[in-house]
Parts: sequence; structure tokens; C-alpha cells
Amino acid sequence: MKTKLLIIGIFIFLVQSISASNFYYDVSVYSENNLINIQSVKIIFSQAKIDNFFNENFNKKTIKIKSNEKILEESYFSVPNKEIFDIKDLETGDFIEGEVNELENVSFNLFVPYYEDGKEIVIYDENEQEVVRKDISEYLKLDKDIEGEIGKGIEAGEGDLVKRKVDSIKKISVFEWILFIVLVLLVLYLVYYIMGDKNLKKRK
Amino acid sequence: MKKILFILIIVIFLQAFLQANVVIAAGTNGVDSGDGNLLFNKDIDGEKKIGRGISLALKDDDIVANNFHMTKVDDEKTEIRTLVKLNQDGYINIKYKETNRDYKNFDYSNAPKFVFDLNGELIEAEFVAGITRVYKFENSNVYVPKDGKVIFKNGEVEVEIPKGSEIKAPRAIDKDKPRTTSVLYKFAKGEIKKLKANDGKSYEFSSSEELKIGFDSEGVYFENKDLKIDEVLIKNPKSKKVYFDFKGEVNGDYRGVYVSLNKNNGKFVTGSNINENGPSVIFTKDNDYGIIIENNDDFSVRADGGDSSSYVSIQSRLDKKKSALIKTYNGFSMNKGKVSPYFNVKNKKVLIKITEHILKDYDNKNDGSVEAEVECYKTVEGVITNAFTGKNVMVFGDDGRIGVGPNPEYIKVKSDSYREYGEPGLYRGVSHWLAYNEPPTTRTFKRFTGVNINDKVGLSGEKIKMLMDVFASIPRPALKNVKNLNIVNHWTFWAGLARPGEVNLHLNNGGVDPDTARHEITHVHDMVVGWSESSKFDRQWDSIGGAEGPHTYDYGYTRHEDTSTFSEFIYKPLDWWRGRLSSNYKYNKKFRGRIAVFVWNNFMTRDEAGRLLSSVGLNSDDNTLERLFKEAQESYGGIG
Repeated sequence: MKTKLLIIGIFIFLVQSISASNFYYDVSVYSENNLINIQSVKIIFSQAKIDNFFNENFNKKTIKIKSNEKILEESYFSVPNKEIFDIKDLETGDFIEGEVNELENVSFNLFVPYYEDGKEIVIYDENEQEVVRKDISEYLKLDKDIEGEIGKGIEAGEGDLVKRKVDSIKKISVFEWILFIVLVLLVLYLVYYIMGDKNLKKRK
Repeated sequence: MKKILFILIIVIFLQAFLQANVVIAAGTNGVDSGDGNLLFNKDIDGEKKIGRGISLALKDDDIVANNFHMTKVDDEKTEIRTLVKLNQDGYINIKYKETNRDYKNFDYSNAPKFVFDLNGELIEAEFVAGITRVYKFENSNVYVPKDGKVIFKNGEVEVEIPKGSEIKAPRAIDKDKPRTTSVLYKFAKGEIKKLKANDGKSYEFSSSEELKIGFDSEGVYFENKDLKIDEVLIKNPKSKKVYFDFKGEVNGDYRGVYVSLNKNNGKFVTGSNINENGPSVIFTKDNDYGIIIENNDDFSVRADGGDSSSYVSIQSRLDKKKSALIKTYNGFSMNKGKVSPYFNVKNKKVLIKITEHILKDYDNKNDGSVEAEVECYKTVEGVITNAFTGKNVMVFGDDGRIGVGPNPEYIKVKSDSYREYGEPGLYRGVSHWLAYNEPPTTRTFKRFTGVNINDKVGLSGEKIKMLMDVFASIPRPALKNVKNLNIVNHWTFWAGLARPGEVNLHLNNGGVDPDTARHEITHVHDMVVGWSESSKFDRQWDSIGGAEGPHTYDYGYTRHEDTSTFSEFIYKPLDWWRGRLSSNYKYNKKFRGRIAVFVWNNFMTRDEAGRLLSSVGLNSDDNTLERLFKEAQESYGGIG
């Protein structure tokens, strides 16, 4: 029983490891009076999970990655159109005044996990009405050009990071292949184990 | 029956007589060899069988010599031995004991000498090799380069290596038997030798005295007072045998002290498996083990002997952008500048000598520190345990600070806070991340915090480091909500401005200080977990009247400023907090309850809460926080 649990545990871990995507669509968005426009999309790599700003109370939107009409990814975000500033009394060092502003125009970036068969990015408002749609079929498959795209995604002055990140991608791919092979072997073993267990019980 | 007894007595008598006769003859007039010549005490030309001349236990042709001079010599035990000196082109062939052993190809300018005991065993030899070749001694094949001077005595072979020559490890002749002969190669003074590991990496050896590298049944060793292996200096003042290998592994099998290097994987180990201290190992610039030595830095380690074996291992993690990981087991001593951690074998604790080098056997004028993460283990009643409490590790900062805590990514140094800013609750720290230890720049800030920094002002390194410490003090989930930090100085009136994911600090308006940074980070986090009546945080906060007064100061009554004004006081002196949390203060329960809600919603770390609550003798464990929250809820309603 313990062995079975252990195998199932490893199985779940591997599934999670493989499904954890390291590539993201970096979607550059401009919002003007709550009208949203997608300005550009590129692919970036991030070892850490990237979350978008979201607060139920803040202009809730939905972003979806679609392949034809199939939804590959769906997540919420809020338009970050609020700001709060604080003014200090320089003599006491205490804040004395401040205000919350709602911005009419705001540029921001959304990060959504990359899908090889992702064809469109679609953004919906809080009433599930489509707001904007962007074709991303140019990124249908990750190939060698991705290195160039990753380069674009990195800030000026961070050139040496590019190589590191590309190296990481190469390592990750090999790692994922190994994980995949181990996963297949584990699945086969799990099936064999469960079938064997059932046969044993039948015999008993 | 009597006849048989009689014959037996005669045989024994005859044997005794013959043996005595041979010994007397050998000691006086020489022995007639098997081929009928008297061979002792004169120069013999040509090849002769001398086996029985050396020992009656041998056959005459078991040993053959050519161009030689043979004498009998006594040693201290009055045992009679045979000295064979070889003349020009002389040689010795030993044919007994399954293998042929030839001793030839000499430099004859100094007569090669060989000494055999009464059993015919070669027990001493002294010669200079005329060509590079292997000689057999006992169960060892010993490599000797041309012009190498060999002295074999007392089961030890010593080879003086001429300049520019190589050495090779001796091999067992009979692989099934142990190779007990110790072989010591001595190099000319000042010579630098390269030894190659199995993985193909070369290690450069040098010493201020003549380099001595030996091989015995335990392994390879050196016995120099000092030895430099690449950029690692080893001090061994008593010239003890120090075993070494290129595996980079802990080895409990050496019966002695050792060092193990592997620059392929960046690992270094020094250990002692006896009740004696190992050598002091000093790391110099550009070493392969991840110890970053800069201008005035000093770092050395020693595995100290004791009842249990001990070691210090060092693993480079530069590829992971982390400082070296050091693991110690039982006794150790370190110099880290003039701050010296060591393991006290009496009370089995890691202690630190301040302002003193504990390892004194090298010229340690430098007092700069190196960054490293140190895990310390000890044996207690046969069980290996952490030498610190729980899962704590020790972290060295490049700036000389030392911290002990559970998370080497960042450990607060509680003795070193930002009092100059009036913030005794904001601490400087230590981290295993190189980015935290390097001179602070916007680049190191980004690498350490993960937050993009856009510095339009050109902040000083000191200010950047202060901001790194502020960001490091923030609970991780809250820090994740901050993507960008902008430092500005343009015309505006605000000191700080927060947007979702973004903190802006204004230098001239007093924004670049711990209070403002914490205040604005709190806004950013609040925008995610708060600012919504339905959020978990707002419900908890409102249930204790968190948004209502009294606040830390008046600005808290401004909309959305209740949380930020509370959090900017986290770093304040405990006296201030004692005034708010003590039961003498009317609204202490509200302040206490706010701390609980702050911890649960990642506005404050549990450690920070512990500091504040300690001012009134409380702690920050789950039960206490739960109780404080409930008490705050119950008392809420009397103010507004």
C-alpha cells in the first residue's frame, strides 16, 4: 500500500513538473477609458510563476488563449488603473496627505502561459463580452527563433542574462524529456502494479 | 629403532656443523659459489650465481649478479647481511618468488648498492637510475625517472626526482596482496609539479621546501610543512602525513588527516579520522571551490581531531549564483577575517572568537570576510545531528556579518539594525545569494529581490542595500505583488506613490527611507488582498475595527492609509510598541489584533510580529495570534 502511494505521489509530482510551463505570452496592453487594446505580444521565459494583478473589486477582466474555439488557458486580471500617493512633512518625516487616483489611460503587461497551439488571445470584460482579440498564430510552435524572441524580452543592459536564460531553456527541455520518459515508465509500472494487485485479490 | 635414532642424530649434527661452518667462512674468507668461485670481498667481473652466497635458503641461481663486489656486513642485531655493490654495467637478477626482478640500467658514477638479509630478501638499496623505468621493491612496482636517486630502506622507498621529471603512482605486483611499501618522491626545491586526476584535470603542486609526495597502503600523501595545490594553500607545520586525492569526497577510511579536491565539481574536503588536527587550509584568489577571495579577504579552515572523525567540506555554487556551501562535521576551526567560528568539542557547540584568528599557522594579516553558507553537524551518542537549533544554518556575509537562522536566502542579523534611520526593527542581514554580497547596484537589487528597479537618481550603494533589506523583510507573498520599483527625483509633491505592482519613491521628498518603502509596498499588497469589502483580509481587518482608529498616527485616518501607516511602524522602537500593546493602554487589544491579521495576510512576518509582541512578553505562535484576534474582535465596538 505504501509503495502504491509512493508511486502515485511521484506520478502526481511528475505530472505537475511537466505541466509547469516556463514560457509566457507577454501581452502589452493599453487601456484608455476602460477600452482595452492589445499592442503587442511576445514570448518570454521565466523560471518563476508570473501572476497578473487581480482584485475582484478592480475592473475585472478575463484573458483567454484559444486554439480555434478551444480554450487553452483562462485567467482573470484587473486593469491597474489606480494609484495612491503620499506626501510627507519633511520636518517630522510623517505622511500628512495623500490621495487615490483613478487613471484614464494606463499601459501594462499581462503574462499568460504559452501554448504551442495557441492561435488567439481574447480579452473579455466582466460581463463576458469580448473586448479585444489578437492573432498569435505566429507563435504556434516554439522553434529556434525563440532565442531571438527571448532576447527581445529582456531589458537592455541585461545582455548576459539572455544566454543564461537560453541555456536554461535548453536544460529545461532535456529535463522535461527525462521527466516524460520517467513518467511513461511509471505509468506502465503503475498499471502493471494495479493490475497485478487486482489479479492477486481475485485469486484470493 | 635404535638405528634410525642414531642416523637422525648424525644428520642433525651434520646439518648444524655445516651451517656453522658456512657462517664462519662467510664472515672470514668468502664463499665458494655454486660455480666454484670465491666471490666475496673482491671485484667480480662477469655474471655469477650468488644465491647461496647470500642465503642458504636460496638456490645458487636464484640471484645472479654481474660486475660486482660482495661483502658481508653486520647490523645492530648482529644479523649478517650481504652487501652487493655494482661496478660499471653491473646488474642483479633475482629469480625467486615467482617474478623476475632485475636491477640494472644505473648511473654508475655512484656505485649502486644492494643489501640482502639472511633469507635472501632485498632489504636495502641505493642507486641512481640510468634510464626511466620501473623497479620492483617488495610488492610494489616503483616508477623511477632517469637520474632519479633511489633509497630503499626499512620498507620505504625514497626517490629524489630530478628537475622536470614526472612521477607515477606505484602499483602492486601481486594484485591479490596489499601494497605495503611506502614510496616517497622528493622533488627539487622550488619545483612546481602537475598531477593529473582520473577526470583529466591537472593540479599544480608547489612548496617552499622540497616537495614530498608519497604513496603508502592508505593512499597518496604529502608531508611538507606547506603545500600549494592550485589556489589552495595547506599549512602542515609538523610535517604530518596528509593524505590527498582528487575526488572531492569525505573519506572515513584514511587513518590520518586528509584533503580531497575535485575542481571538476568544485568540491573540497579536509578531514581528520584521528585524534589530531588536520592541516590549516587557506583559500586564495581564483580558487575552484567557490570561496570568493577579494583584496583583503582571509579564509581558512581546519578539521579538528577528536574522539569522532571530523571534516569540513566546501562546495562551489557559483553556477547557481550562490556563495559556497560549507558543511562541517564535529571539530572544525575557521578564520574568516578576524572572526573565527569553531566547534567547541567540550560543550559540542559552534562558538565564535571575535577579533582573533583561531588558525595561527600562516601569515594572516588580512581581515576581510568571505560569503558562505555553513551547515554544522555533530555526533551525539552516535547520532548525527545539527549543531545548531532545529534546521538553522550559519551564513557569512561578505561584509563580515554572521547570521544563524533557518533560511539561508536571508537571515536578519539582530545585532545590526538601521538605528541611524530610527528603525531598530529593520535589520541588516546575510544571504547565500551572491547578489546580496556584491557591492550594491540596481543590478544586484534586481537579482536579489526579483523586482525591476528603475533608478533615475543614481542611488548610493548604501541606500540600495537599505532598500534590499526592506524588501527582504517583506513576507514573500506580498513581495511577489511588487514587480517594479522606480526611484525618481523629478518635480512632484509626493514622497511615495503606489500602483498595482509598482512602488515609486521620491528621493528629495523624503521617499527613500525604510518607512516610505514599507508604506508603499503595503499599498501594493493591499491593492491585491484588500481594497475590497469581500476580501478575507478586509473582513478580518474590519471585524476588529482595523480601519478605524486609533491608528499609529493621524495619517491612518485617511482613506486606504490605515494599513500602510500601521506597517511603516513595524520597524519602530519597542518602547513605542510597548506603549500600544501594554494592557495599560486602552486600545491595546486592537493593536494586538491588527498584528495577528497582518501576519495572516502577509503584511508582516511572524518574526516581526514576535519582536513587537515581545515588548509585552507575548509571542507570535498560532495560538497566541488566534487569541489576540478573538480578544480584539470581542473588544471592538467601543471606539470609532
